[in-house]
Amino acid sequence: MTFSAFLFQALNGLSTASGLFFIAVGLSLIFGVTRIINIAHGSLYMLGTYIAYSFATKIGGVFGFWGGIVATALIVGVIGALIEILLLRRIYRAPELFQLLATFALVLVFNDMALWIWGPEDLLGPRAPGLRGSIEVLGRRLPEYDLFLALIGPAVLLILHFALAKTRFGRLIRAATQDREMVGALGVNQAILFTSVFALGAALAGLGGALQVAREPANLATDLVAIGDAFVVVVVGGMGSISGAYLAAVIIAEVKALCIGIGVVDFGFITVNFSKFTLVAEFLVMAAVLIARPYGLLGKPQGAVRSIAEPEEPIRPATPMLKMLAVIVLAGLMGLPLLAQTQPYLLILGIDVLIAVIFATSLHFIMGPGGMHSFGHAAYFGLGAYGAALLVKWLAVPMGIAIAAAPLVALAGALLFGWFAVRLSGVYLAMLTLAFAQIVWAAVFQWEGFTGGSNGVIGVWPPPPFDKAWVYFVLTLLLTVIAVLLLRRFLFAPFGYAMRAGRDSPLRAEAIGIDVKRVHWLAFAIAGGICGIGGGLFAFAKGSISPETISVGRSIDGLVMVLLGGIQTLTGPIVGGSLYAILQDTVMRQTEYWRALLGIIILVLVLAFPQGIVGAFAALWRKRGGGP
Amino acid sequence: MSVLELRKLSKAFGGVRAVNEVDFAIQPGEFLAMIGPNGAGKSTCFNMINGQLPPDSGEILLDGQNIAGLAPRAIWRRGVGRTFQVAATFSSMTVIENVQMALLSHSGQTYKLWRPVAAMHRARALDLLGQVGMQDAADRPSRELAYGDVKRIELAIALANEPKLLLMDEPTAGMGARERNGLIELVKRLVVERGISVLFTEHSMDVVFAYADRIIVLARGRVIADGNAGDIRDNAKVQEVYFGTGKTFAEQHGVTP
Repeated sequence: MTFSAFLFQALNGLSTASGLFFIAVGLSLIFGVTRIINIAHGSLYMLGTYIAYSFATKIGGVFGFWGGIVATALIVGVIGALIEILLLRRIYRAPELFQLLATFALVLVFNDMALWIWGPEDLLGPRAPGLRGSIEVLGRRLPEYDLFLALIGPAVLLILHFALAKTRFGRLIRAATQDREMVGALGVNQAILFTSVFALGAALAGLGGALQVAREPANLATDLVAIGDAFVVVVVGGMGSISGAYLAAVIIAEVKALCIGIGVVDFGFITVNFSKFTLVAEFLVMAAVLIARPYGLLGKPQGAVRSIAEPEEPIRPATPMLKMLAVIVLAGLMGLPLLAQTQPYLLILGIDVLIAVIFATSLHFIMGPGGMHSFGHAAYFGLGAYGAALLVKWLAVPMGIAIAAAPLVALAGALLFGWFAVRLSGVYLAMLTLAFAQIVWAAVFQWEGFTGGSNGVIGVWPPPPFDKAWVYFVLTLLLTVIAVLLLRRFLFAPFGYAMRAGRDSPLRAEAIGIDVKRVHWLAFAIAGGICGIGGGLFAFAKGSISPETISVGRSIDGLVMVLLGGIQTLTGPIVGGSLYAILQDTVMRQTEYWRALLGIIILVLVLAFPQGIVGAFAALWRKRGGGP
Repeated sequence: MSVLELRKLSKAFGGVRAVNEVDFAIQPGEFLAMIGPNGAGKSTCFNMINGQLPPDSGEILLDGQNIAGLAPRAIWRRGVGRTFQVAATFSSMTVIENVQMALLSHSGQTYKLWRPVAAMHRARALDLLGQVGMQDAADRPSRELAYGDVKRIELAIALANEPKLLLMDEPTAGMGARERNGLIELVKRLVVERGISVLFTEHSMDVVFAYADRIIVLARGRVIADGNAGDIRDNAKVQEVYFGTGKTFAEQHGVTP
């Protein structure tokens, strides 16, 4: 690559950086003040593009385009204010996990709303009036609009910077970011402050989305892509720092631009196409930053947020009644193949349910007793599934070996990602795990030659006798029981106790000689490995897999399963996983808008059953038994 | 040889020299109190000894080996137990499980994945609980305990690794007068039986003067006095830092109109 080509790419990177900045800065501001990670921020960005498209095409002209962009920012700001008033205000005191889930439910609802209003097609807006041309830079043609984008990012940064430094509102935001309880104690009306910060953050996301209208088509997948990028930017730049957000956005956009600019390089012994590694490069940047500065480039360590979760009961070995129940359920499941003649679909559903149980139980292992809220558990499911499927595709290994290799591939991935993840805690950890899952997804998606890209891997069928549904069901049942019992055994062993000690009080655990990070790292790896078993089984059960196996949606499915069952009980994830899989296979297949339906279920769950189903039953049980 | 010896230990936060070339030593079996007004550097000193803060310079010798800058868990492994100013337990565990966890860690069994904890070190844990008078509460959830009982559990945990040195940061903070004496008496009895040295900070002077073998007074990051209760009581410098000399006010009065 020539030097001028490099400069050109760098200039191009700056316009991408502006887009990243707009979405990340709002997320960062909102988190700083309200301590809520707004996963729906990507959706607000996406809505911004759609709404601006409607303005630009329905009204049209200079006013429709430029006026539309301003109007869009205002509309999305109002939507943000409504979200805060109608939903978030009710759950500020809930455990942070529930806040994350509630905002994710909004992602689902908004996505289906966009589908309903604008349809499934990609919509490309008109070119910007007044900036249709391009100018010659270093012998190449750079669209004027890209140049405009590259400039508007720093301009907004400056405005925000002065607003925060000079105005009363800005001072309140900075004060609340440092210590919101103190700000409350000083008599500041928190409700108004939170609503206005949320509206401001949402408006910035809407503006960012709207500005993309002349550059990228409005697309229903934008929401999750944008939030994944924003997480990386915010983690790299530092939570609550707006300059950090811009700095990180520039670094990441430039690294990506550089990868594309370098293109294919022949090293003599191997040819590497760097443009395929934009997302891996993003990961490397983040990893490097987190090793050097765990709170991001310009971030400061956040004061510990007081845990408001209900204290947990000590774990007890299964009561005779629970054991009996387990035997009955197992006997019932063993009898399921007998119904296979008349109800063949039951076995397929049964396999789905069992795989969901492995997924949920392994996630619960680190989320509950480990206190690590992974938002990217699908990565290990996907690694297991792809590990098995690719072994079959490229090396034609027998199914037994492929299924045995699945947990190992997942374990290796979990060891790598977990090493970084355990260095952070709380929402930082949640965001990092989500970003890792997005990276695995992107690697699979982009590395078409090896993984089949968006087409996935097909023809991964089990050989006889496992091609019969009932035989495969029995195999799945066996592996599920082993996986669940193994995890349970670990929890009652010293390792499980050390894990909980590290969660209950890291300081105290360290003071009695426990290497908390290491214990949690290994726990993360174990959970990943066990989850890989589910992935391997999934690949052979479906016969084909696609990148959808690793999607954010699946990670969130896992969270819903765990919370549905109740995070503080050991049987919770089994019940939650089963129920969710059954719901998904039955109710949600009935409607095109299953996402919105799922989102509404999550919202009801978060607002009405914060302890989960098993947790609610257990509480009821205690009340009956212990009450007067 | 001293169990613990600090040599020119220093730590600054920004421009503030919180601990400034502090030297002192603890002899085997000694019950040593570290006192001083707020901001004297007691907590900073303590947190450097237990590994929570790395010192800027100086040495912390445990049995002649420098432990400055080691992680808290490494220092614990070398035989230093500790209790916290605000006592708490692992709240999701029962009382005995808290003690069992410390015993498991002490015997290097943290990473064992198979045998259930319930049967491991139970006898020894019960014994430790018995010594702090908490045997009856062994199987209760630890989060249900009263604060004074939590302090006792912490003590049992701190004794689990058979320490030669026990660090206690304000052991009686947040307790009533009678409870306070009961706890310190218990501590004193247990450490004398075992020959453990104790370094503790304390705000209530009745406890300090009644129980400490020796007292060190810190002020503005320096050791200003070191001796037994009588020496400290009569020390002019100590009286000055605690009660002032009265000069400050007089001088100010002269300058300001």
